[in-house]
Amino acid sequence: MRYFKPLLFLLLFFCLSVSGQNNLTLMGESSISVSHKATKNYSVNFAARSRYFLNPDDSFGYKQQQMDVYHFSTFKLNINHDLSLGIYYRNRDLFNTGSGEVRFTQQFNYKKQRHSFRFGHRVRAEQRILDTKTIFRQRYRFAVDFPLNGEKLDVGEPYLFCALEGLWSFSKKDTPEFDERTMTQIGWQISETLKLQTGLEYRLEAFNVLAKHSLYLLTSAVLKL
Amino acid sequence: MKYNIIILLFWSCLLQAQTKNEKEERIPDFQFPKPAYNYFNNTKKPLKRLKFFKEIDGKNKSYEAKFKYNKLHYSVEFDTLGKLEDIEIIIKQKHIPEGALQQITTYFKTNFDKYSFIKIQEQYINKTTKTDTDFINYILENPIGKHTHFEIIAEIKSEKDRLFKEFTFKFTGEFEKSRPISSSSYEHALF
Repeated sequence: MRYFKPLLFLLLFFCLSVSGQNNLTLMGESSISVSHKATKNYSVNFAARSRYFLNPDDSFGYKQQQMDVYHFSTFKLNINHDLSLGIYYRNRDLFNTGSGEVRFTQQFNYKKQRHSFRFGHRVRAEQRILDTKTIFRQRYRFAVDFPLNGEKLDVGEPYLFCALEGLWSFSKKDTPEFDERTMTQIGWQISETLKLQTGLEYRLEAFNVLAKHSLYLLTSAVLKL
Repeated sequence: MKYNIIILLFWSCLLQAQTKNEKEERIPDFQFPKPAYNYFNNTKKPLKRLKFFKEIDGKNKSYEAKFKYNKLHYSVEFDTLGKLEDIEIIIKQKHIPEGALQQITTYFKTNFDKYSFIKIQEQYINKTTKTDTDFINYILENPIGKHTHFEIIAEIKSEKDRLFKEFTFKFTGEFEKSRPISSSSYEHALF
């Protein structure tokens, strides 16, 4: 708990600096994911995620934007390298907020443990198939996660998970678009199999065209069976 | 669906009760065994980033002080009465003497398909007639060549599985013991 106050200050600072931007959209995203290690080298992951507006009509409130379900198959190449293939379905029709999409993802992840810190590099290629166009998106993310108490994450202890990500999207119809995402989450290892996480993500979208700012309040449950 | 989630949550709580309780927790100064706490007040130079921890490993309880001294990362472990158990210093692979390193790598190569070192420590156990406080100061002032063991945390791959293990080698590089240690999963950060 000794980290609670500085973290709170950081979060507040983060909110304030972001709310200084105009046209900021406040969003919320909640997810539950279940993963299972099927064999030594293969694991499956299923997740459901809900996204909602937290300031529809420029006042605090709630309006559902979409539901996502996705699956990832992960192949362990060796100790630190993982290759994952994903399929993703997004529904917006149910909430009358636009059209949904189907997405295919290929990702490569490299992680390195240095004492209590774990650094991760993730490269992703996505094909987002929408009704009117197909968007090709490439992403790179650098992430750090570490326990907040001692050197090892034990049951009942909190951890911090931070990431920086750059995205590049292009399609036949639109000009290429660059996005940037910054994320900080605090999580708890509730039991051997369950992690709960919450945090903030700031997204700067299409900053090379017409920048859009959004702040996401993230909550998630991560189960490992 | 709603009930399934509740059952899952309940189930994971049950599992929690069954797992071995191995924990390292930071504690305030006054909870540290008194005699041992006083050792850290009379070092030649002040200790940097001095932190105290309590460690519970199954039924065993111990206390650990971590700090930096002469650019080295120390961790000094005591039992509940404040008696010194060991001193550990984090080192790099290149700091292991050649002969010992050769023996250690031969051990890993013959027993595992692949391995990678996560953390290497030199371990100092007081086998001299010195008192605990004298021994700590003796090591702090010049640790070179006085270690009794190497402790290596490595990720290893064998035919059966991949896992993290803690290995103890004698100062000559001869294998002494190993035990598996848990590592936190990465699913929360992968997708």
